[in-house]
Amino acid sequence: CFIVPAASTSLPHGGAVRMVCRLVMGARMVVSTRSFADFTPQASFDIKKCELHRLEEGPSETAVLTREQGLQYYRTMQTMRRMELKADQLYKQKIIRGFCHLYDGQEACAMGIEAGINPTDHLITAYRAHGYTFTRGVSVREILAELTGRRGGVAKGKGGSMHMYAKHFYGGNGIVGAQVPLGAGVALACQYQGNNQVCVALYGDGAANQGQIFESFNMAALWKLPCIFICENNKFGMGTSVERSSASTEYFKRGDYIPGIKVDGMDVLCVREAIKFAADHCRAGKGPIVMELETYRYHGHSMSDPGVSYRSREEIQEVRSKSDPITMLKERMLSNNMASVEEIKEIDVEIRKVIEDAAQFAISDPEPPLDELCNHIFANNPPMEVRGTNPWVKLKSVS
Amino acid sequence: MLHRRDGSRFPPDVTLGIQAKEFNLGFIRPDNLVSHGLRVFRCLLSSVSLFQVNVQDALNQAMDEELERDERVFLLGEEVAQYDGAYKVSRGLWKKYGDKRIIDTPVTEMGFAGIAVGAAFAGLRPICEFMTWNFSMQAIDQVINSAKTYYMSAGGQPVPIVFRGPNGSSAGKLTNIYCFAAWYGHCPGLKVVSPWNSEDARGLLKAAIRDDNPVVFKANELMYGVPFDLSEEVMPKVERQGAHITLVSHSRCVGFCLDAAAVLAKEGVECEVSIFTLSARVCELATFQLQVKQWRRRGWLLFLWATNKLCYFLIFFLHFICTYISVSVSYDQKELLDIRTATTHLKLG
Repeated sequence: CFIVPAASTSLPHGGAVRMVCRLVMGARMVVSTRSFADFTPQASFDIKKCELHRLEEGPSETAVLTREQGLQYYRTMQTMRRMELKADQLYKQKIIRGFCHLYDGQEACAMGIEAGINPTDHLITAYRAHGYTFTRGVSVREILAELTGRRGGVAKGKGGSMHMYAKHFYGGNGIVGAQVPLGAGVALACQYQGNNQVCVALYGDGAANQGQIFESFNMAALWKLPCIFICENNKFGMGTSVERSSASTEYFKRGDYIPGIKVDGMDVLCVREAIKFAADHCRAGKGPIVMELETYRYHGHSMSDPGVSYRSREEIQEVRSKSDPITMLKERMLSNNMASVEEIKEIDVEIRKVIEDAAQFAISDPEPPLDELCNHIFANNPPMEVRGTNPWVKLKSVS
Repeated sequence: MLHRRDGSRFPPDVTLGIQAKEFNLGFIRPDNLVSHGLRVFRCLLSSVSLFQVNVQDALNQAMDEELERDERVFLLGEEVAQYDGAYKVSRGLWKKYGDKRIIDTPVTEMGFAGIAVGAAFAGLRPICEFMTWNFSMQAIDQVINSAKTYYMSAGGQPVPIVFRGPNGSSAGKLTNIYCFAAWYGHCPGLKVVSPWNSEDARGLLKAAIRDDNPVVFKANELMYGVPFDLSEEVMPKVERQGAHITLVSHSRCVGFCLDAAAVLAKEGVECEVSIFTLSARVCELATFQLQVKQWRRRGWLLFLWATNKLCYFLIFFLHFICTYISVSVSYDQKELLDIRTATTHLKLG
C-alpha cells in the first residue's frame, strides 16, 4: 500500500492538513489530523485565593498550565478514578476482600501534591492510599494485584490495601493518626542528612483531633522540621461529619503557632500552587506548615459503607456535577483550546485498556506460596524457625 | 596513678586491691593513659579480670562507641542531653556529640517514639529512650507497629531502631515498677532483650544498634549502679554450673537466682543459673526446654519475672519442692516440670 498525500489546503480554522490515503486494495481511508500548532501551548488560570493563618503572603493566585502538564494531570487523575472504580467492581465480585478505602473524588489532592514536590521528596499518608501509591510511581498492575493479594503486588501480596510502599513513600498506615509522627520523623531525617528534601504527612479530618498529631506539631515547630502537614478534609470521618467531631473545623488553624493555608482540594492547580509555596517555605528552613485541602469522596468510608446513611445522595450528586476535579480540568483545557475532545477520548480509551489489563493480571496472578508465610519477619537475619499454631509445627523464615 | 573523679588519690591498698565503685573505665583519655597502662600491667600480673564497670557505664560505653562508629546513629528521649540522662546512662554524650545527635524531647512519648520510627524509615538508626518502660505504654502503638512494617512491606522497609529504658522493679516505689518484657515479647517482629550484667548489657546494646530490626532493650534501674567484670570480648554465658535444677531468668532476677542457688548449695541441691535466654520471646522457650531435656535427669525449669523480695520466696519454694515432692523424670519419658513464678496479679503501672 502506498499513501498519496493530497495537496494541503488551508481551511477556515487554520493550518489543518487533510491526508487522503489510497491503499492498493482500493479501500480509501481518510485520516484527519490536527497539528500541534493548533493548540494553545499554555494558559494562565485564576485560582481561588487561599485563606491564611499566621502568614503574610500565600500561594500565587494564578497558575500557569502547559498543554503537556494538563494532559499528564488528566491522564493521571483519570487513571486513579478508573482504578478505584475497578477496585470497587472487583470488591463487589469478592475478588478483593478485607479493607478497601477508595479515593475517587479526591484525585486533585494526590495529583496536585505530586505536581508540586520532587520525586526525591517524601510522602506518608493514612489508609486511603491507592491514589498516592500511584502518583508515587507504582503501576496500576501492582496496586490491583496487591489489593487482590497476589504475588505480583507491590508488597508481594502481604501488605494489602493499607500497606503499599514505594521509594520515598511510606504507605499506607492502618492506625488513624499514627502516620503523622512518622512523617515528622522522616522530616527529621531529611534535616539530619541535610538533603533539602521535605516530607508531606497527610491525615484526614477524623484524625485531626488525635493527640499525637499535636505532639508532632510541637516537635516539628520546635526543631523546625521540613514537614508539610496536610489535612484532607473530605467533610466526614467515617460516618461522622466534621461539625459532630471537631470543636474547631478550621483545620488549617489547628497548628496554632504553625502557619496554615486552606486550599480548594478539588482544583488541581490550586493544590499545586499551595504545595509549591509550602515546600519552598520548608526548604527555606522556616519550619513546618499546615495545609487543609477541602475535598470530597464519592464512595463511602470503605467498601462496607454505602455512604448514604450520614449524607444524602443529592449532596454527592451535586459535588459530582459542580466540582468534580477531572471534569474541571477537562473543561479548562477544552475551553482554552489546549486539547481536543477526540484526544481526551483517546486518552480515556487507553486508560480503560490499561486498567482492564491490570485487572486481568490481578485476577490471574497466583497468590504468594504458603511456604513464604513467615518470610520477612526480621531484616538481615539468618534463616530461622518459627513456631506454628501448635508446638509441633515449625515454619521456616527467611529474611 | 588511679584517681578519684574529684582528683584525689585512692589509698594504696585500694589502688592495688579490689576495684572501688568509683572506678569508671570511661574512655581512655590522654590524662589517664599512664594509669590505665599501669592498671593493665597489674591485672595481668595478678590475673584478675581487667575492668570493673557498672551497668550504667557499660551502656554509656556501648552508645558512645556506636555513635562514633556510625553517623546515622542518634539518641532521643526525655532528659538524655543536658540532664545527662535521667539515670545518667547518657552522661557526657551531649557534650561530645552535640544537639544534632543527642536530642532532648518534650514529654510526649507517642510523638517522639513515632518520630524515631519515622527517622528509621528514612535511613537513620535512632536509639529511642523511654524514661521507664511504664511510660512506653503511651507509645506502645508506635513500638508494636514498627515491628510490622518489614513484614507488611514484604522486605521493602526495614526499621533499624532501638527502644531503650529501665524496666521492672525499683526501690521503695509502688508505681512505675512494672515489667513489660512479656508484653513486648509477644509481638512478632520485635526483638526483646533484657540483660543482667555489664558484659551482656554492653554487648547486647551494641548488637541491638547494629541490628536492622526494631529491638526493645530493657535494663533495670537497680542494676545500673552494680559493678561487674567486663572483658574485652562480650559473650553471654551460664552464670553458675549445676546438675540438678536449671533456673532461667532475665534482668535483675538473675541476681536473686544466684543468691538462691548459693543457699541451696548448702542443702546439697546444685542449681544451674542461666541467662542464656536473654530474649523474652515466648517462642524460644520451646527450644530451651528441648535443650534441657536432653541433658538432665531431672529437668526443672523455673522462670522468674520481675518482682521484689522473690529471693526468699524462691528459696522457700525450692526447698519445699526438694524435700517434700520427689519427682523423678526419666530421660526416656522426656517429661518436664515447668514451674513459673511471676508478679502477683495485683496492679499495673
